[in-house]
Amino acid sequence: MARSINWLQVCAALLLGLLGLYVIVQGSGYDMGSLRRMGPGFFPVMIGSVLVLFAVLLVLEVWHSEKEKNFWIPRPILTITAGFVAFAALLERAGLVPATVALVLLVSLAEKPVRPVAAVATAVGLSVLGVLVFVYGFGIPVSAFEW
Amino acid sequence: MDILHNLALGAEVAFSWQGLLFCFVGVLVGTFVGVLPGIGPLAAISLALPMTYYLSPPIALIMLAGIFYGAQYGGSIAAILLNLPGTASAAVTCIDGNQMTKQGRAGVALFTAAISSFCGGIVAIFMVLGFTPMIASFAMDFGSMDYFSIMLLGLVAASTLSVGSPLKGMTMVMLGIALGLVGTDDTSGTERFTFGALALSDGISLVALAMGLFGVGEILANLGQEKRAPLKASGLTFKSMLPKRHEWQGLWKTILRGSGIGAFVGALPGSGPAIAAFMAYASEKKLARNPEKFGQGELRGVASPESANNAAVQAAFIPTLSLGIPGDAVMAVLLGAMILHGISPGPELVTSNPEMFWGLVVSFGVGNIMLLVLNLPLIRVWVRMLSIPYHVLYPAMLFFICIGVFSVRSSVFDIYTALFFGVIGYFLIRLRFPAAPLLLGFILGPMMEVHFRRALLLSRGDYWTFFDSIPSTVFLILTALFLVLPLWAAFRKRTARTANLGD
Repeated sequence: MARSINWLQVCAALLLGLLGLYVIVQGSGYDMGSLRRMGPGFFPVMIGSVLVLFAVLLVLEVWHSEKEKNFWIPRPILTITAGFVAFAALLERAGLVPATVALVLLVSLAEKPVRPVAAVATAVGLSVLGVLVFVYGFGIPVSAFEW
Repeated sequence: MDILHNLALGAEVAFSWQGLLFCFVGVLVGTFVGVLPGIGPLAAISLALPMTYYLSPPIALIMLAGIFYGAQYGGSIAAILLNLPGTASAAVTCIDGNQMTKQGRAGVALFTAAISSFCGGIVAIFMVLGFTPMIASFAMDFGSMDYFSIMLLGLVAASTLSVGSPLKGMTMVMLGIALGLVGTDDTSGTERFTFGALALSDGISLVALAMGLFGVGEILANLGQEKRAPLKASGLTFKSMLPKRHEWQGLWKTILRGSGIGAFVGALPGSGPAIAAFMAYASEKKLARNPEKFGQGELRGVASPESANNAAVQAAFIPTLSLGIPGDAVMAVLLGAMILHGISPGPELVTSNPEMFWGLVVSFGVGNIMLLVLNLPLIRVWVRMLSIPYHVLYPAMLFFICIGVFSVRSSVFDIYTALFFGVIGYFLIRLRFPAAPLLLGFILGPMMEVHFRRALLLSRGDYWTFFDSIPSTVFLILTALFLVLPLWAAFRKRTARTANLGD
């Protein structure tokens, strides 16, 4: 019956507990006020405390829980992160079209096999759609190309 | 006849060209995302949210609601044909629906699913019509303590009724409330947890949070999975969809029961269409004379959950519109949409924005009829949708997430927020933490704080104020019940397990 400890779950619970502690510490830095007239610090400290309590209970619950499979997927996480960062960085500096192309091409690398033709076609299609709908249709404050 | 007058007012909104057009767009988008496994109504509604800024509030709500119930129709298609629930609430439909496909009766299953969804929707609309104004007028006298207690009830119910660990659900609620703390405190004007960042002084963007957790997170989880089986093209003709007479016999009773259960469960705070579908299926199986047929392609096993989930979706509008308290995460986003449109949800909504409430209700009827038309003769179009390759779909979804998040408040910062919560959302999915209670906590948290502080201010710091009013006391007792029940269930499971010496 002895099963190994599920460290992944335990660490997640501990992280949540740490977050709760942080909320308490940071929250108590704001004015606590009194029960009668609560300051902005009261509710956060309350929430943080419950979060810590739940996290402790959670550690007990997940101690021997079933292990997760394929938890760490670096390729999709990294490519999607790269795509988002590129989109955010390029959007206001280079315009919607370069940002869209960069996003689509980067996130297309997330899956093997990479399909270059489909990726380029999707990038072009979405650029056109994006410019028509968002730049001309909704008038977001970004143009297709910023020069 | 007051109600006729009100319905006429609603019809004016719902039958305006804008009302009809955007209702159609909503149900169309809803069916689309429902059909496609991997995008649920939540992601779609958050996506559409920024686009509704250009519409008047009632029209915007009509469209967003259309996505929600449209997805229930669409969700059954993937469930029946591919054994993949297009939406979480269609998971139960997979059991018998996919068996029927294997037996070559896919058409009959699809037809029954559409008809059942339609009936469920209609039954629930009458519930919404009857109960919302009633509950709203009852809630007019609600004080802050009542609001606090009912929100607490909603949060506890949502986290304990969800699939999986109730403790994980409640932890997610707390995490959501904690995230909701970020930004300027309404009462005192103090900036909290903003790390000095100007972009956070208005709080974390709801759209960025929802899109991250439910859009990016789901995509990451799908990309990390093994490949699914491709769809085998099946010869679906309209004729093959019509069930034979003996199959129809007594089915209407199943549909009515499913609708009733769905409408009732859906109206409770905290329970969504998925739970309604599951409960309807379970009770139908218990009532059946031949329960062993369930799971082997029983038509009632399709009719029951499908009528229940659509009824639940419509009925979920009851607490949202009458009390301003969302029952599940999708409703929470719809509530967020109302707030963004400058409408304060609460019991006054029905009387102060009658065109909104009645317009929405009439549009439910219109939308359900549109969906019936979309799902019966045009079923083959939707089946073809299932063959859109994922390598085209997910870059497109990510693009819409990026641009959608940005367009809410023209903030590049929010794109990073969506990415951040996307990665968190992925880890939550893999660690089996439910993300929906988080979102519910995020939206209800700030409202709860306001009511909590106001209640204690009025009672001069006396905690017993939460037991001073009858509604508040009832809600708190129910909350305690919801907390104790899972503990009791876990205890029983453990004793049963030791008795069996298994696992």
